[in-house]
Amino acid sequence: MSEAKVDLSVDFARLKLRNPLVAASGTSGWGEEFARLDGLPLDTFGALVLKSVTLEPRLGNPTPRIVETAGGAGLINSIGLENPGVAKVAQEYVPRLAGSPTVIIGNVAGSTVEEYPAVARKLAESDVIRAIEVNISCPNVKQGGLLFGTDPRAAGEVVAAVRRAVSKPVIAKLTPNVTDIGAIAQACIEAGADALSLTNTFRALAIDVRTRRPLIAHNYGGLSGPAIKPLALMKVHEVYPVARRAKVPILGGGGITCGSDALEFILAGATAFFVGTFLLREASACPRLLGELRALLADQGEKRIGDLVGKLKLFGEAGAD
Amino acid sequence: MKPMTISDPPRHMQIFDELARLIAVRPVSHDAVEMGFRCPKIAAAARAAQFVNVLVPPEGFGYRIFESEEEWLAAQRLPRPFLVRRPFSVYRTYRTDPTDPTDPTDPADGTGGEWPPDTIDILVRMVGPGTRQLARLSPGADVRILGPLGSSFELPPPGASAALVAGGCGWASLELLARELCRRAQRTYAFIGAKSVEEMPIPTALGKRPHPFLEDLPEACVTSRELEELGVIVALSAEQGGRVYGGLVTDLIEKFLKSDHGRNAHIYACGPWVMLRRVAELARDFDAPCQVALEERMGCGLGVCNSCVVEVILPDGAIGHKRLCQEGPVLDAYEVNWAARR
Repeated sequence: MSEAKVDLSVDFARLKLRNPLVAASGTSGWGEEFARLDGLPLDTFGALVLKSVTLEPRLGNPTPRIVETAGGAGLINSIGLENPGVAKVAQEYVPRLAGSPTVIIGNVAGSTVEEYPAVARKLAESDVIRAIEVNISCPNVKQGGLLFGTDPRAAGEVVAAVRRAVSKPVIAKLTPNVTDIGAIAQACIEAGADALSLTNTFRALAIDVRTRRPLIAHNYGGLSGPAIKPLALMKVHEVYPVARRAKVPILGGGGITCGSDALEFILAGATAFFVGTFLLREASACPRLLGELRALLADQGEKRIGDLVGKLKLFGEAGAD
Repeated sequence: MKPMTISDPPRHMQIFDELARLIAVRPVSHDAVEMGFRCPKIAAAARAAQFVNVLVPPEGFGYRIFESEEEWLAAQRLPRPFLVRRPFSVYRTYRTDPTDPTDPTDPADGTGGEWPPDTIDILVRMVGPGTRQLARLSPGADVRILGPLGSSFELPPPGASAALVAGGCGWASLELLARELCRRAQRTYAFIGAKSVEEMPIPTALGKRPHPFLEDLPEACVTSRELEELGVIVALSAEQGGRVYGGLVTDLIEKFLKSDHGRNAHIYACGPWVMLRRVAELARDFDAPCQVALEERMGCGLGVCNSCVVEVILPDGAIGHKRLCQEGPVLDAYEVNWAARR
């Protein structure tokens, strides 16, 4: 079948995306940097998620902030949510994105439950921002630094607060550093999330054996890249039944570097997929990645990417679906 | 002090991700090689102190469709993947149009014309497995290179002199500047230091003491013929001594600044943090303008990931960050927070 006949368009949480490729938060800047890269027009992406924004400006963690690890298959990062604060982002950065050829999604983070809706409300004021992704992988300073996203009640509280503050689609971004991600997903759905994105990074460590110190200044960070793909894929698979029951779509990813990787996430239950670390490495290869995805579908005689969501068939499972 | 955050989104300057052909590899010292890559778009656009982000082959991580047996075999010869790119200063460029008056490098200049036009050189010091794998590539290999990235040196006003200070492979960020300055007939001094003469990042040969003010150097000393032929006044230093100034390159620049020749000189420096910190201190002591080219672990190179930040002191005294791939790698020495790193 011809690749040109493959329909990659996607309906995701009341948004119509031209394709399922989403540029992940923290690896996509403020929505315009990629335009400088020859061969990567912004309309390559179905959507682009902006860097996490907090109420107040944050300087972030000391350097070094990244280290390659896992035999060259992973990256640990601890940037520390560096951002100029919602006032500056809303006033200066967001208006520059008017007319952007891709769908822009804002991302909000905070140290207390109250901060989230305040940031979300401010960002969502602009027509440029089509949805709000909620970064619940943040420490709750009022609860001894426990990540919101590791506790179903806390996660639900944050999502509910954002839900009350904005009418645009709310996407809960889940952390995988939990025992039961299904429970977190359920709490977010009950709190009103229109969609779920997963996974964020896995907590990780790398050590310099000569100095006997960690290899990044903040000691710990989040692991991303091909090393996490099997883990993130499993999390998407775990969440899918919960999400499907509530008809809530999944934006899935973690270590995607090619069309085949993306298809794995779709089969596991993702309606759309994101790339993050891949953009650090080879953002210019995104058109190629989409081409590979198209070729795979054409090869299998599939016309629409939407038809393949969740079509993983486990051994021992009775019947289809 | 209330912390401020990153600068505004970058100026619009086009960046290319070229599939570059490795033309030649030339060893420079026991742990460094010069690599010449043919990448016309980057070669045409690169300016002094800018850098490129190089993907260490093999390219792919996941499932790939190989078009041919040869392609599959080629992929097997390079066993280990490296996730993030490695950054290197653009050392030299060779372009297609030598009649272009803005072209700072003439292919027919003193480098012997080894690399063809549309080529850039990078200096690769083998510090880890990624740089080792890169340095072991054979001519003919195709390597993906992203660039040109970052900010460039601001030239001194016409008539002013420039003192270029390099610690080891830091010279790679300064050579394009030296060539540009010589083209403009601006008096240029180069002070290059290494641990030993053998570890000099540039080819050396015996020559004459460069200048009367450097009476600490032997009359017949090791120098760089290539740079001297360009018109640069060269003084080399080595901690382990030899037929060069025995000591630190920062001692050399201090002597220079103390002498009459150092008056009204603009300083440009690149090298290890402790060296640059000392250069910045000297610049302040002698009230000399000073720009530094810095390095930090590099992520995307495009300004989207915030990995490569350096602490700066903002006009209001607060601490802020600048990204070395956007606002940097060239920063004003007076704004860098030198206390930030150990």
